[in-house]
Amino acid sequence: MGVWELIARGLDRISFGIVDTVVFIIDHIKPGWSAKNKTKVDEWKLMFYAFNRSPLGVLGLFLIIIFLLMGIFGPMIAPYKYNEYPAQFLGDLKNSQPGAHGFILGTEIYGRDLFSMLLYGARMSLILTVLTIALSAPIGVTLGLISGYYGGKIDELIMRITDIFYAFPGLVLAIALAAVLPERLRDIVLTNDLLKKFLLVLFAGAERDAGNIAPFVSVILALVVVGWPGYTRLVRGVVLSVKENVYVEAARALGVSNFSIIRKHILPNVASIILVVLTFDLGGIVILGAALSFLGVGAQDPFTDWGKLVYVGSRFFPNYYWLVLYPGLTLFIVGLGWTFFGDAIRDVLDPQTRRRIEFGVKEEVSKLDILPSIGVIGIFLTLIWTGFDAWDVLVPLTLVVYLMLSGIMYKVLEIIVNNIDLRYKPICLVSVIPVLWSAFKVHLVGGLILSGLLVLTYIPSILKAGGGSQ
Amino acid sequence: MKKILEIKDLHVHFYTYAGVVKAVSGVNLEIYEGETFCLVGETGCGKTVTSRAITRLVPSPGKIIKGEIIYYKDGKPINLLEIPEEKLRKIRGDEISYIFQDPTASLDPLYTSGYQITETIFAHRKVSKNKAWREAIELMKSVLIPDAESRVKNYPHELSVGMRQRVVISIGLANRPRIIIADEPTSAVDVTIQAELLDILRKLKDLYNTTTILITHNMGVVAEMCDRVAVMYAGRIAEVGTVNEIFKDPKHPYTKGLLKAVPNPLTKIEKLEYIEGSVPNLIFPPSGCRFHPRCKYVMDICKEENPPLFELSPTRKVSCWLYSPEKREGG
Repeated sequence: MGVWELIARGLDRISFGIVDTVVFIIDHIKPGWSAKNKTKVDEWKLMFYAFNRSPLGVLGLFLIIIFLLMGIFGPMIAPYKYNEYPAQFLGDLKNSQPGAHGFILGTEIYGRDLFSMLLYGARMSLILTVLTIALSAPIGVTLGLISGYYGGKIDELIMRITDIFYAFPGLVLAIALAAVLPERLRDIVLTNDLLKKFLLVLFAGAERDAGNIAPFVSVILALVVVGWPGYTRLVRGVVLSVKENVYVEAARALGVSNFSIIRKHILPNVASIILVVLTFDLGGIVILGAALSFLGVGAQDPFTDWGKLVYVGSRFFPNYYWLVLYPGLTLFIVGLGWTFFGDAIRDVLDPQTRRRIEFGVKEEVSKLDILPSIGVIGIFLTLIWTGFDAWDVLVPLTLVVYLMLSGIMYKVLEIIVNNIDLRYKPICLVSVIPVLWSAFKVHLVGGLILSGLLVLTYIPSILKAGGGSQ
Repeated sequence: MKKILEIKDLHVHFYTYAGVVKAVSGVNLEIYEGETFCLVGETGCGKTVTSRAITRLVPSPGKIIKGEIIYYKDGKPINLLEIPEEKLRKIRGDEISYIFQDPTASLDPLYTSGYQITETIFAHRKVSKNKAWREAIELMKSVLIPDAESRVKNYPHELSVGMRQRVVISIGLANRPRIIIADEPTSAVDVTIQAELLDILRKLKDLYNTTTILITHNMGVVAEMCDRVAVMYAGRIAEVGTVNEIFKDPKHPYTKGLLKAVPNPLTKIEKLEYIEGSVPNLIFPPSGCRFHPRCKYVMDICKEENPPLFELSPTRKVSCWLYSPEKREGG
C-alpha cells in the first residue's frame, strides 16, 4: 500500500492540476464561477482523490487511454495501410513471425502487417463500442425513465416489449440480425453519398471498400437491438425506488412538471448507476463484437477487427501463435481495462464510499517501502532496453526469487525493528506470519505477472525450436 | 368570511393486499380565507391523506373514491377533483402550496437550496434567472436565514435541520400561494427552533394574508397558532370549532380524552389519562360511530349508525349522537 500511496500522491498532483485548469478556463468564460461553486470543485477533487487510491482503477484508466489513443490515431500512425500486402512475397507464414523482416508483431495470413491491423482493428472496436452505446443507452434509459416514473399501463406496455426482446438469446438475435441486415444496408450505404463518406472517415477505409462496411454497421445495429432492454430494466428498477423519495413528491406538490421532475430529480439520481453499468458494458461490447466477428458475421475483408483476426488466425494455432496471441491479448487487456475502471468508478461515484476512501487513507508513507518496487521497475526497464532476446530462462527465475526475497526480507526487517522488545519473542514471531503472508502475496503477484511477461517473450524461441524439428 | 376551500364528503381508499383501507371516509370541511385552520388527530387518522387529496396527490395505492374539493378562485368555484392534470399542476405550488414534514428528505441532495427555491419559481412564472435568484435570497431572508447570500449556494447537507426546514418553508412560499398546507412542519426539529419556525410562519401568514392549513398532533402548536380546529378520528371528522371552544368546552368524547392526555404544567397530576382501547383497524372499521368501542358514553344507536355532523352553533359542529337534536330535546 505504501508504494501506491506515493504514486497516488503524484497522480493527485496531476489530476488536481487538471481540475484547476478546467476551473481556470470556466472562470475565464464566466467570471466568478469558482467562488460560487467551491463545494462542487472540492467534490470533483475528492472524486479524483478517491479514484487515485484504487490501483486497479488507475491501471484500467491507463489501459483505456491507450485503447482510445490507438482507436483515434491508430490508422494514422500505422506503418502500413489495411489494404497493403507488403509480405505477400514471403509466401510462407513461417517466414513472417514477429520481428522478421521488420514486422514488429509479424504478419497475418494475407501478408499484411499484424501491428497495423491491430491499430486498424482498434479503430473498428472503438467505433463499435461508441456507436452501440450512443444508440442503445439513450433509448434504453429514456424508456426505463418513462416506464418507471409513470407506471400503470405505459409501464406495462414498455416492459412487455422489453420482455419480448429479452426472450431471445442475445447472441442468437444479434447473429440473425447481422446476417440479414447487410444486404439492405449495403444498397443504402452505396447510394447515399453523404453517409458513405461519413462511414469511410469513421472506419478509415478506402472508397473502393465502401460496400464492405455494411456488415459491420449491421453488427452495430444488431448490438443496439440486443442492448437496450438491459438499460430499460435497470433504469426502471432504480427509478421505482428514487421516485419514492420525498423530494420527488415535494416537487410534484409544488407544481413542477413531470418532465422537469424526471430530468432534474430522477435522472441525476439514476446517473451514477447508469455510468457504472456503461463502463462495464463498454468492455463487454468490445468482446461481444469480437465474438460476432469470430463467428463470421461482422467485419468483412478487407476490414478486420480484433475478433476477426483471432478467428482467421485460429486455424493456424498453435504453430503460428502470433496470429491469435496478439489480437487476443489486446482484446483481453481492453476488456480488463474497462472492468477495472468500472469497478473503481462505482466506488468514486457513490458519495458514501467516496467519503470512506477519503478518511481511510491517511497512513503515513514509509520511504523504505518503495525500494523493492524500484527494483521491479528498474529491472523491467533494463529488460526492455536490452531487448528480450538477450535473456535466458534463468534470468527471470533469479529475478522472481530476488524480488520475493527482497520483499520478505524487507518486511522481516521492519517487523524486527517495530517489535524490538525481545521479551515477547514468541508473540513477535506469531505476529510476523500475517505480515509475511501479505508481503509474499504482493510480491508473488508482481513476480508472477513479471515472469508471465518474460515467458511470453520466450514463446517465439521455444516454438521456433519446436517448429524447426518438425 | 369568505370560503376559500370546501371539502365535501371525501372518501379515500387504499387498495392493499390485506384489504381496502378506508383511510378517509366522508370528511366535510370548510376553510375560510385568511384563517389558520388546524387538522388534529393521532397518527394514522387520515390528516395527511386528506391534505394530499386536496391537490390529488394521494400516494399509490390510494384512490379518491368520491367527494368534491371546491376551491374558490376569485369567488369562482373550481372542483379540484375534476379539472385536468395540467390545470391542477398550475395550481399546485402556485395557489395551493405545501410545506413538508421532513426537511432532510424533501430536499434533493444534488441541488443547492437556492436552486430548489428557483425551481418552484420557474415552474410557475417566466422570470429571468437573476431575478429568480434575487427572489430566492429575499425569501430566505424572510424566513430569517442569516447570511442568505451565501446560504443559497449551500447544499442541503451543509445546512442544519432547522435551516433546511426554513428552506422548505421558503420553497412553499416562493409563489405567494393563497393556501399553504403545512404538514407537521415542526415535528423534525427541537423545541426552541419549533417556536421560532412557528413565529416565522405566523408572521409570513400575516404579511401575505395566506390561508394556512396546519396539520399536527401537537396540541400546544394548535393552541399557539390556530383560529379554528378540526379533530379527526379514524378517517372522519369528530369535531370542528374555534380554538377557544375546543379547548374550553370539548364536546366529542374523543376530544375530551385527547385534551386530558396532554400534560398541563399548571396542574400537577400523578398519571396522565389516556383513552382506553386502541386505534381501529381501518380495513374493518367498527360499525356506526368509529369511536364507539372506546367511548365512555356509548349508546345503542352509536353501534348501528354513523352520526352526522350536528351543528351546535354557526362555528361548532360535532359528530356524536350525544348532541343529536332529538336527544337534546328529549334530555
